[in-house]
Amino acid sequence: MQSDDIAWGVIGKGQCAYKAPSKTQMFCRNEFNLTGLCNRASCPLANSQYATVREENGVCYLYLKVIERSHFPQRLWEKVKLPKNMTAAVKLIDENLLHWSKFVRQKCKARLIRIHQYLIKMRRMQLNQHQKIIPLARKIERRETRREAKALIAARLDNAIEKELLGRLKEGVYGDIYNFNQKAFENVLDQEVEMEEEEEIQPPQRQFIEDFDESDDDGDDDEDIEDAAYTFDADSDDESDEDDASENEEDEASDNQEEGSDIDMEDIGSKKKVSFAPLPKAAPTKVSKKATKKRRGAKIEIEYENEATAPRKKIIS
Amino acid sequence: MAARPLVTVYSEKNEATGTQVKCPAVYSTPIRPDLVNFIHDQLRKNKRQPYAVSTKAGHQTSAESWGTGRAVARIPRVRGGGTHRSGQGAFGNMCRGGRMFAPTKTYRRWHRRVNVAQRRYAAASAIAASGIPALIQSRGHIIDKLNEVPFVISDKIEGFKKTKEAVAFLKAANLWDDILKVYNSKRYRAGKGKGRNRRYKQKKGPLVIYNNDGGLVQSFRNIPGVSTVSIDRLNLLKLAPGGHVGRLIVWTESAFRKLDSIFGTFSRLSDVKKGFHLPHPKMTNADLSRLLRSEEILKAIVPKPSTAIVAKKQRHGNPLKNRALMKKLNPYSSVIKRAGRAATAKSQKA
Repeated sequence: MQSDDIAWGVIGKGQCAYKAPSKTQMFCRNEFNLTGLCNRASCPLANSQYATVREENGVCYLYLKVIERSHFPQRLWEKVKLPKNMTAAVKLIDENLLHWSKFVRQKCKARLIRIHQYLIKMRRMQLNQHQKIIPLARKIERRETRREAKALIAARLDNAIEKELLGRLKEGVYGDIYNFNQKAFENVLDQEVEMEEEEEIQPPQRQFIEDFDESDDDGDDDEDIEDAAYTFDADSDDESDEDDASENEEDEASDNQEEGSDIDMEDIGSKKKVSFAPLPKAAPTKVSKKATKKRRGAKIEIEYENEATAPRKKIIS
Repeated sequence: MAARPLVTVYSEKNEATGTQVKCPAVYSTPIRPDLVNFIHDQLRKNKRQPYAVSTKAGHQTSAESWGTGRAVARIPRVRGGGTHRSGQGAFGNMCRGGRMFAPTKTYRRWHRRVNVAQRRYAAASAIAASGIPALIQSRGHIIDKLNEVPFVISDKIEGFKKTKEAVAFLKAANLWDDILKVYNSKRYRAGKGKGRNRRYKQKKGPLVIYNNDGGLVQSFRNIPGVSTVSIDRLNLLKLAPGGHVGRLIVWTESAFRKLDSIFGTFSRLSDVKKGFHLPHPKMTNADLSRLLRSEEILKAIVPKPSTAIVAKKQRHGNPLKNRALMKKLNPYSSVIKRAGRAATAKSQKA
């Protein structure tokens, strides 16, 4: 019924849950195994009389198993605490395993010695305060560095810094003290001169302005059959209105700049002082706006205004 | 070897009751893992459902070979025209849309008949193996804290109605670790079985063998890994799952007592299985290594006869090179050599 040979006959050649084969050898994952190998003499399942030495939290214990208790798994292993002194422990092992097989005795002592050795090493290592080795997950690291680079680019730090500094300059934080780089300063001036020239050469532009609701009756009288063909959307008219307003603003700003730059040209020799006059409020001049009128049929209104540089404005409904 | 004399019965709270049952003779049956494996293999085939390809598959065309002379392979080709299909190969296993090689048939021999005696032997063997803790452990069950093997519980668990009671019992009996192992082992099946209602795989836990089902089956059935079997209908597929002996078995007292009558002993016939008694082992004491080392046998062994002392073999020398050897063999050789030397000396002088 209960026989070690039978057990080994089933376990050794057949299926065992603790077997862990490698290419060269068969290992045993059973925690009570003396050698860690899977063979007839080392198998804790196939030997009714067996002993091991195990270490728990730095304390070594001798585990004994006898055939009398083989059917009571809970009480199977007898646990004997071994003294910390290795020679005393070896002596105790000899006492307990007095008439046991030579193999078990020898292996228990060998195991005890090895355990003591690695415990000493552990203690020594703790004193040395080894650096903690943290594994890097390669994929994650690669991913994160790339993301950091992208985030850096997306932040556009140069632009933000530039804006911030210009803002501060305009606010007057630096007062009159700010020293510009001469070359950069001259570059800016040159650019401004170019801008002025461009603006003066600009040809008179056509401007399309929206209708206003008030002038309903006016429009009816002045109908032109020729102009009836034209039909523009309300949206495009709105856009043209905005363009008109912005263009006016630009003109005024450039005018101011011209003045400012004139003053500063004089001061180049001594100190490069630049003071910006506060930005003028956008006030569209001489443009009369009337509320838009809902398109009813082909009604056309034409408005003429007297301006120095006022171009013709066609109002088409 | 004698069977273990007495087995203690435990209560549902895992305390030893006073009762002790004599261990049935089944536990002394020879353990035949090879037989169990074979029988298990055969019996597992009996629950199969036939599968086959349609008989018409691949033949529902009127294809005919174009013969030679058309600069195409001679495989039968689909007739007619007007579709992609016309002119394509048909019928062969190599053709697209053709019948497979050796179409599977429903009349394949799906089931196996197994000799009754063999089936009974295998079942008895499996039960015997379940009485050896080493084999239970090697099969993978966790029995570190189990009280006794074989594990017999009072009949109270047959009356369990709630799974809660069953779980409480398993925890008290220190069997819960085995069930935790089952929980942790649940994983997806590899392959198409996933989509064929066999999605999960998990390990097996303990087997509960009962006599009368007073709710036991229902209370234990929702616990993963636990199987239940009636003592009257023992199943090898449950006693040795996977063909491996040594399942962890929990017996109820009445079921355990019935074992002797079901299987009989080595001499006494079974009450239930007609003409059956437990198979005799080939060796009454199977512990071969112990036998060979035992005093009785060692004494009886005739000692090996001492062999005659053989002279140490001398290394053979060459007498033509070794003058001493030559002298031993032919003492006159030294005279011949002396004469020869004198003659050469004379001729040289002259």
